[in-house]
Amino acid sequence: MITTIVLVLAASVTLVVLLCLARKRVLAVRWLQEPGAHLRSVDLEAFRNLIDPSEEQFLRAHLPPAEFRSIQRERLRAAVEYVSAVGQNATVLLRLGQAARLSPDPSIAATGESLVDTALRLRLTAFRSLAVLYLGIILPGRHVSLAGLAERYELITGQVVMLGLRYPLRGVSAAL
Amino acid sequence: MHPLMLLRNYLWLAPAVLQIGVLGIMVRRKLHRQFPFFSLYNLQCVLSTAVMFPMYLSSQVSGKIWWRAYLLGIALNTALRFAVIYEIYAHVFDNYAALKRLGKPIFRGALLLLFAIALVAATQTHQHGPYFVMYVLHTLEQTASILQAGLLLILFLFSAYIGLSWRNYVFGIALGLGIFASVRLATAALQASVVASGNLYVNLVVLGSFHFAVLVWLFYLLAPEPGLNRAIGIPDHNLELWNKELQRLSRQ
Repeated sequence: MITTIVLVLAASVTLVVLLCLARKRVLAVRWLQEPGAHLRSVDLEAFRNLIDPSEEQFLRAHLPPAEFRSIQRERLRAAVEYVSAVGQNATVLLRLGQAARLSPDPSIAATGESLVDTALRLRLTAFRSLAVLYLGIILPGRHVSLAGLAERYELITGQVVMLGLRYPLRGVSAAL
Repeated sequence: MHPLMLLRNYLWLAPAVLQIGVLGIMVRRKLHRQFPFFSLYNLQCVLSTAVMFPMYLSSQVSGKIWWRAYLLGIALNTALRFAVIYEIYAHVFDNYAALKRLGKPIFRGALLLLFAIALVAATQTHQHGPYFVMYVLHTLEQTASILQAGLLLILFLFSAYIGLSWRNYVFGIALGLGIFASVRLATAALQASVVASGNLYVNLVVLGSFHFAVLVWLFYLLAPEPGLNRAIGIPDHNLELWNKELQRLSRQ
């Protein structure tokens, strides 16, 4: 009987999630009309400092272990905020790229394709980075490496500018 | 005829008629080449209804023959639904170079995980009623529904998290199947352990959910692709703004 109740509940939750996602799809279309409004600003320099391995090494060498762990947790929590913002921006740009790659203009379609690819890689890197950061928060003594995230973000900003030269992006680049 | 029986007959026949429309749209838009298993699935449903419904009404067809045909139809139908789900996975992941290598491992991993869950659920289900064959059938349907609903849910959640946007028809096919699989999961679980196998209300819910799924397919096949025209339409380049951005980038 318990199995039946669990299965019926699981089926109901699945149904509700599917219907919510169908509604979210309608909302995602609105994103395309005002993509800039959904982007979060990212201070790349501050982020770079936060994940700088030499900075971490310096703190590790000069602070008592307990204090280092406490400060490191704070730094990683701040990095989580940055990476979440990068991930959200990647999602917005992915949607933009997906729309652009369906353009009849081959140059827009090609830039859109390239943007989709970079945005997707950035999104996956942000996902992995978040996992690493949360692990670092749980085990603050562990060395945290977020190789490539800032570089990918910079690359995608450049691609948005290239796309924006041929395609109405309504303030997206400025928001980045 | 009792109104509920009339409703049952409508829910049995109407989806097949609508599926002819689905097939027609698929062929007209040449989508049957991209989704051969989904097209085959619709064709199988139409043919199955065309054979099973007259057999059900005929007094010349014995119960044994009818059940054999029914079981054959169910087996074929379930196998084709799995093929359609695999087709959706392949379509979603192959569309992105960065994700191409992730499609198969995610599908296999999800399938293994869900199979383990389904196996545990099947062993925990206890026989209800005198018919062992029906109990086995409903438990198998419950297992298949756990796998199908789970696979589709995982794909939807992964896509939503990453931010992948699907073409209308792909989304519609997956949504319709997902709705039907989750309703089928709940009803199969009830039939396997609590509700009598031939319960008309449960059958009506199953048939109704399939009817709804077919309507979802039709809606998404006919709906225009959202957002693209508005986003790509008229270029309103602001060269000054873009120039500033290029300068800002070059300073970084």
